[in-house]
Amino acid sequence: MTSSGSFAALDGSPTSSMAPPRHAPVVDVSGLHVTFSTPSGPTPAVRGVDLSVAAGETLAIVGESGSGKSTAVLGMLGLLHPRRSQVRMDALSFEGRELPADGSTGLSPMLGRRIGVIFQDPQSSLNPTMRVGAQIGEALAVHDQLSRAEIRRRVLDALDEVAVPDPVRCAAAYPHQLSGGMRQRVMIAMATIVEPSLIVADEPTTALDVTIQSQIVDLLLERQRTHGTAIVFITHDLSLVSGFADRTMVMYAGQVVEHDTTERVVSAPSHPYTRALIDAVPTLDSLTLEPIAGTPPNPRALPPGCAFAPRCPDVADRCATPPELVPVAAPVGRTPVAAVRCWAVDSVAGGGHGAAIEHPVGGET
Amino acid sequence: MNGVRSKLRVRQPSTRVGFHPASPTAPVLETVDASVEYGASALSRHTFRAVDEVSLSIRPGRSLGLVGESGCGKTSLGRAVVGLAPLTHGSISVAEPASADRIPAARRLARSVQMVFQDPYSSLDPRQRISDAVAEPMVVHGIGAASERLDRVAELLERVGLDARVGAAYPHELSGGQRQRVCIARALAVAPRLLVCDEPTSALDVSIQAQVVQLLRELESESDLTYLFITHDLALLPQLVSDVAVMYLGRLVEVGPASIVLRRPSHPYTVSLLDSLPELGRRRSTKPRHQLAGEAAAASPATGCRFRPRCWLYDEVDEAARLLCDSTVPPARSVGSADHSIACHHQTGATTAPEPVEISPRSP
Repeated sequence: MTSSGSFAALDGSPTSSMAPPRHAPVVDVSGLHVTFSTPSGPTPAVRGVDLSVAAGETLAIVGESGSGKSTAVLGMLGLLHPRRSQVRMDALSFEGRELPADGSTGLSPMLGRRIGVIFQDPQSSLNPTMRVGAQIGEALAVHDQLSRAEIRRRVLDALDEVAVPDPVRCAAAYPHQLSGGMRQRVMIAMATIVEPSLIVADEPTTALDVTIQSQIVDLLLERQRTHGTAIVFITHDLSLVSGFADRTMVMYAGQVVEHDTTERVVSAPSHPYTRALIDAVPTLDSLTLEPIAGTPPNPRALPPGCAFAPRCPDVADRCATPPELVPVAAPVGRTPVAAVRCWAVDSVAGGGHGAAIEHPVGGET
Repeated sequence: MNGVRSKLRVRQPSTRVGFHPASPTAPVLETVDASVEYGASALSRHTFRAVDEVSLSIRPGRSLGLVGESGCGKTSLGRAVVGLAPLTHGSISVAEPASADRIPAARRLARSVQMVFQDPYSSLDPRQRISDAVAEPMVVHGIGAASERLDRVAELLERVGLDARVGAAYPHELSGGQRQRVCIARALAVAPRLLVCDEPTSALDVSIQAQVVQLLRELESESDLTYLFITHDLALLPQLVSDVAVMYLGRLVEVGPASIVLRRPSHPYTVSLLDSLPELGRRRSTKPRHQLAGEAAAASPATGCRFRPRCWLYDEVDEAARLLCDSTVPPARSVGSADHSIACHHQTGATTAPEPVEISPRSP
């Protein structure tokens, strides 16, 4: 009987396949569409999103409420109500295996085995009538043939790993007896106890104080460092993800408008919406904020051309035609991930595209 | 049954509100040893002191930002100022409103101080038209005739950047940002001197938040209005306030001009708060230098200095110095300048601000 930590126990378990090599995508989805059926007609919420994330990599999806950032990921995971929504994908693969792309199940067969999900509001995503320990161990009880003692040991290990001060007491508590930060730690323990290769975090720190937020992000990054987990981090807080995400996708009106390394999205944004978003983020250095005029479009009455055109400071005639998400040149030595959905950026792609990109956005807007 | 009823009885607004004479230099808000306790009644011996003897003063035109983690008592203090939370000790004085002859103290208070709440979805009556919501304070205070009030509602809506036609709408027809504008218009209806804003933008998207912040700035500059701005987002403060007060478990730990407190904080808690604040473009390569471990223990605060169990400075000082932290509540004392004070036994001067951002997304 070995008494070493949970990793030893896991190494022999059937779920711990070899981690895929870095850069091989853990999840890869293309052409994702989600349409909600509403009383006022079909509402396109996600309109063609490609998404992939590799082992050990963090992909941030940033956008305002209604941009489709959560819907895209929930659709991919197969967590949307099948009668109220229609999910369509061109292709879907997970850890190198092709999965049905018809949107019927999405990635849901992998949930609780290879994928852990952390939601924004731990209060409403935990069962109020179940002790915390039982909820954390539920995935093990359902998927693995483990004894109760073994499950309990793994639960206490998982709580210990998320820096809960007194795991035994926490496991015996009900969710309402814990603070918001503790509940989010419980959510992380629940998501990671099955050793997932992908963690999807949907605004996991929005309801928390900055001090606790910092601790929670550290937990996720530590988990990633030790286990090579891929992370999809959905947030409206560009400042937060600018601190740790490898790549950032900016979404607007159900589409990706800019996709690049986080560093370049923040320091040299190409899309006017990204620039406007950055100017609206309060920082200790900025004495004024530049609001984005107007409001996001109604998804049932989208503008005929570029969805951002009605709010765009640089709108031109060509914006009446919807722009495509086109790859743009990346600096030498960088992985060419950059893509932008804007006519202004595309038009300079032939000649002086680099010039448009390399000028950091100053305060001229 | 009677016992239950008396337990649930709504507390009357505090009668300990005093008024400063109407003068342009008198403070718009002054609290002296103000405490807020919950659960205090003849039936209950267990009370929870959310605000513990807080003294602060806001001069006209010098808006104050009140910051701290959730549970630190910042909202309770704000609610006590408008009479929504029980003031059990100390006193609160506000500026005497203009034209306040022969009206009861509670209404005089409401004329001087108004509040904008965090959630614009629950702070508007869903069955009340916007124009009625904005007119209601004027009806309560008997300001103007009905026709004058209609004009005034249109004027207020335009002042907060809304079309006067919005008045005919119901709250559900408006977006979150529009609703928060309505709440601000309603608060301005009685022309208060002080506006208590309790996290007014935390339910809004960042682009809408910027619109509301800009509106608050415009209103402040064009009228005789001062804010008590309660927030957990320190990055909003440079936009909106002149002074900052930092609270920890019911007590003030640092008070001073925003330019000093946010740039060169002195109290170890303020240093930690600023260190955990994500800055756009600052890579999180290592842990913040003074990251706070654990959470604030509101139910059983430590003896002596309440911040001691999480304090990084406590770990750095010697045994004798720690004894002082363990045993004695640190009194507020001035550091550097007269208007900058901290409640810490050991910190002597300002520490360095968090490292400047690596990538600057905008020119200064």
